[in-house]
Amino acid sequence: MNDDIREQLSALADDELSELERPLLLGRMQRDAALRKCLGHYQLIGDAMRGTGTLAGMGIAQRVQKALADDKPVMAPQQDHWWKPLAGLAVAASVALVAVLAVTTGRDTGPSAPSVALTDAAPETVLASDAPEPRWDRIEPQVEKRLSGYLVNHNEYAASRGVQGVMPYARVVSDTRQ
Amino acid sequence: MKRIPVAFLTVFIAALTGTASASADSDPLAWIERMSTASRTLNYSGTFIYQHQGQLEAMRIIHAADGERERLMSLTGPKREILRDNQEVTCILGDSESVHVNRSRPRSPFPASFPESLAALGQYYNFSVGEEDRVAGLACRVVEVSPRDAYRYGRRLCVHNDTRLLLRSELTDPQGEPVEQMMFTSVSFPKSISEQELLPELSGADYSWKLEPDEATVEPGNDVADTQWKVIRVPDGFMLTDHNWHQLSAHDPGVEHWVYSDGLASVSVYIEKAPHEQDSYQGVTHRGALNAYGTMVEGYYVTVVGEVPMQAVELIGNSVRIR
Repeated sequence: MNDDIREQLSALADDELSELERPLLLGRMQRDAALRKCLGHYQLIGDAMRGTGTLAGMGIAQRVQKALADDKPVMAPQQDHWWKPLAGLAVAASVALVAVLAVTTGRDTGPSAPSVALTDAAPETVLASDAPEPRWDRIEPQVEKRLSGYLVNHNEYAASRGVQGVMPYARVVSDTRQ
Repeated sequence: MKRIPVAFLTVFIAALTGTASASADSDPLAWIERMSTASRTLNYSGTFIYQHQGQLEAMRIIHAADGERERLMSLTGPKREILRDNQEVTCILGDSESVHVNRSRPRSPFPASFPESLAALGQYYNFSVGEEDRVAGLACRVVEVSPRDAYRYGRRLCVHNDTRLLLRSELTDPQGEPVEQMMFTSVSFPKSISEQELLPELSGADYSWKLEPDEATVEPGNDVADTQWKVIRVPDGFMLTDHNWHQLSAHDPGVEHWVYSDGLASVSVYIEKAPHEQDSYQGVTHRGALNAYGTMVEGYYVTVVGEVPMQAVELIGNSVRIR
């Protein structure tokens, strides 16, 4: 990565890149994972420097994302879809689910369960990335409700196990409108 | 004759303690263990950013060691707050004007419930202590966790030197791409947290409230022997840690729940009867580092959810069978 690109990335993160340069850089970013990663770092740095001024950082992050989405990159033939973990009915499902947890904690079965079988296949055979599973393009309300319940339930289990990559409930608080 | 010279003893003890502290600082698992304890036992208050798939959000967290009380709120987007203590989790959602109160699940210290697997973790992850870095103005130590196969995510952590609080966390996919990041932009460690700080900003007074039912009315089974299901394949190193039945709501059938963990990451398998045999249920979705895979097996919805790469949830989901 040369210095020109670095400067452009930095300008993009600060929302100071010209309209002329932007499409070129975004095009390169679609092809180059290192560039995308680098932009993420610039955004984090900019955000940290602005202290709590994360609104500005979020704005540009969303604009970049939109620009990339509008361009319909070949590497992403289908849009990603999101659960809406705490919108409307979704939560109603999760309430009962989480409620049961406290009652049933003593029911660990330990590693001797007969169903635990270790894979003997090489990872390559399982990856099968040539034929990806279909994404849920339009998640029906019933499916979404079920997934949302699972998300919150699983979150509480995973959080109870000690090591979390993020604050346990950040995913629940996270904005899911897009 | 048997007397050991005092000078020798002093040197010996100094060497011992010196070695002990040096090895504690260079032992990545010791860092992770202390980090896990710190997040539960410290008073802290701070602002952090949460980034996933190009989306950047700011949140504030206040944590009191006393009663493990915690308040987490969004600073960007819809107003949402979560209050948690060792009894309940309360979600106050400004965007849907609703409040949900649930019982919480006790947090167990790392390495969770099976310390014997601590050594085994080394078979599936490579742990290392990296350079010193700085986050939110505080010196922290980088701890890297790299998976040895494609069924796990890597973690790049920065742990505060003084308190061992996790200040920055990056989850990476098997290609090393960041999937999800959290980083404090400011954090303080007050001696005490006032009651006021743990009260929600949103009163929720005119919201709709949903309280958890007293107990589940359906308990289809009591232990793993009652199940009619088996999960044939899980990635190496994952062990069954929980097996329960839940009830989603009054009219839903019981949901069977299997939890597998490799000591760092957890995967849940949910199995519930589909209302109609001909229902279609097949797909994948994700939220940050959390992937989900759904499929139909013998008229049942089988859903696998976990903080592991998609190929791991697919592998597990495709191996669920009737006994």
